[in-house]
Amino acid sequence: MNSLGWIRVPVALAVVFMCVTPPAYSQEFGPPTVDQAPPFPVPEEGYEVEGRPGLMLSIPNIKFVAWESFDGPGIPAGLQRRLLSESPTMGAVSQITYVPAGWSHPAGYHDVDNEIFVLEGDLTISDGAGDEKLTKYSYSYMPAGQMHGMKSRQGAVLLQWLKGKPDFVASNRDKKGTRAYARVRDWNRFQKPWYVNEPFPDYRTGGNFPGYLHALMRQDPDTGEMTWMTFVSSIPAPPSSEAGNFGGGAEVHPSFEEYFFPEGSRYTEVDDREPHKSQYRGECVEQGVSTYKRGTRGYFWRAAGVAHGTVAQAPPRPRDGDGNLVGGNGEAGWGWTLVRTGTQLWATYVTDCTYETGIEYMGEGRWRKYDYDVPRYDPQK
Amino acid sequence: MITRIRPGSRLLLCSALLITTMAFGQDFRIPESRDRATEFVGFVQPDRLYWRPLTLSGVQTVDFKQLSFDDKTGARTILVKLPPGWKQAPGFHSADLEMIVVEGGISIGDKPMGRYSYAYYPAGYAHSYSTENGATVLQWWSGAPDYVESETSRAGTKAGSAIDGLLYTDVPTKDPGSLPKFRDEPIMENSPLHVKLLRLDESTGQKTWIVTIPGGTREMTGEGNLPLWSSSASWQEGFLLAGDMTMAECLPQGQAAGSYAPDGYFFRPAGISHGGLSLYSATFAVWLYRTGPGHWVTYHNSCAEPSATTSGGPTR
Repeated sequence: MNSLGWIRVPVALAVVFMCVTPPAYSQEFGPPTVDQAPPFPVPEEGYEVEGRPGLMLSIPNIKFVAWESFDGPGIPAGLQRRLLSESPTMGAVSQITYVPAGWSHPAGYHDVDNEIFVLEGDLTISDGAGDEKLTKYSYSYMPAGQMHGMKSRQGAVLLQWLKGKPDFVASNRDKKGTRAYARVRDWNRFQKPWYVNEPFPDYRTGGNFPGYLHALMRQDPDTGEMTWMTFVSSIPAPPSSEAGNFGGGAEVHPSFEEYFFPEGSRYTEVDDREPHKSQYRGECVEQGVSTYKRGTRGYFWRAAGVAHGTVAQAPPRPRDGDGNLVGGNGEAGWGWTLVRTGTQLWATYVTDCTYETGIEYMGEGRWRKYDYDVPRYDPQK
Repeated sequence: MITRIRPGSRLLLCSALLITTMAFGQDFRIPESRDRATEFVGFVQPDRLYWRPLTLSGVQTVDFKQLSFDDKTGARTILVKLPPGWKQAPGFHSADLEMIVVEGGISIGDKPMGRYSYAYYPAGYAHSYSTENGATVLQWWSGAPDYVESETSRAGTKAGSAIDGLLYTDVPTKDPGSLPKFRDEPIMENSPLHVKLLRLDESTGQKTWIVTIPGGTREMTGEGNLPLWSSSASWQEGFLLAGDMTMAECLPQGQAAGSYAPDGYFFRPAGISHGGLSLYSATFAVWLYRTGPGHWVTYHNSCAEPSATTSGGPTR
């Protein structure tokens, strides 16, 4: 098994779907169209709000991050966390939060946006509108300043994002200027259907990523930031032997992408956070083309503008006399992921890692934004 | 193997098989099987079945497992294990043969086709296939299997309907709205189901198709607020290629629920409802479906369908 893990499923699917004849009728999941310039101006700044150090931060399994006490000004005692990543300039955090059984806190608010996804257990949030009872795979978004009380009866494990230094201010009313309209109440994965396109926004021309199913949890009415899910599955069919027009295409977004893998068939037991050299598929980072271990209960944060996917056309893999790949076509796979993206989501494609785009943390509170004018992916070349 | 058949009973079984085989001439069948024309055959997990020899004159004997059988027509669905190096020289059969590779790979003629490749041969259509490393092939026969060695097809074969090898990647993936209309209700727009249509008989509407369904949602079919139970005016047949699924069948003797793992199989005669509250997949499901002539689905609020409770057989 190589370490491409999660990237391989979508890529395999892309390979499966790419040799498709034009649709005679109805919707068909075809290859990407390559004129992929974002149909909106890419913001000049704003990325650093959510930035993390480095271009790629990968944790193969959250269990490799030790529990620590989760403290902050005003935050009621008793919480533990696994800190997955933290913004060096804003103090924003992504973390697994452990809420002990019977824990509660009185009414109050955070000065920063608070996103909660319940992985296990229960959590009841009480705001002005009443009780919101969260259970497994429930999601809730509270904008900064949203007054709420919180309690857990049997305890809970949360995936939590705080968009700034965590704090808590006791209060029985919302902070002035709270974006109450941005609130998302109890969104549960078991209750929501998957879909390919609308209401999930198009993120490229020619249809969204073939084979990917989406479920939109939140799209910020002001900034376009999104929290969403994808579902993907595959069966071990040999890939098409015809040259695909997706080969040699690596995807680039004007936004960072943050992933967590709650469930799926690929589990990573090895704490291998260092990138590995890769020739054909991976991420374009400082070391060149790299790939990372990733699997179920894994996490990664990829900076905006870091190309990922197929960075070079691999030679056809050898096949046996029956048409299967030598060494097998792999196994059936499935999984769903939680994703966060900042700004509006868009995908463009580059041929290799020789481009400069995106945003990089330079240390000491300095960020560098590269020009987004990347060479466009052209399948004819 | 945990359960062992005593030598004596095996002998009995063998002679029973032999007698039946003789009674049907060249044909073979498994006496204890249900008649799928009238009875639901389902929750079949082939790894619980025995391999038996399938001998057709002119071809190397292979092992097979019978999944279902139709008493009247002799049509059957079997899982065939082709050993490495096996081949069938050009020849044809008296029945239509449809097949898909569920494990390993085959070459059709000289062309390597790989796992999940598909073929359809109308009766009398000459074809050849072989395997280098071995394969497990799901075969649908419209009648008793046989083999006539021949380089050319028999006169009068419906050559136009033959599908002499289809790679899995050759078949486009579409949304369910691309299928011929099969119900009154509109197909959910932007459906999470993806389908691959392998074969459609334009004259009868019989089709063979693959549907991929994501799991973990309450209404796992992703079809909105349709009632829990559905039945078809045609028979339906399914073989789970990957994933898992639990569902209930509304049988004359009452509701029966069960789970399918990969290779799980059912044959559902026309008119029997399925679905129910237990319809769910924890992971995902990739079904290989066959639906018979006149596939038309209707939805019901409950299992108690008159057609299922009074006569014990289909009414449509």
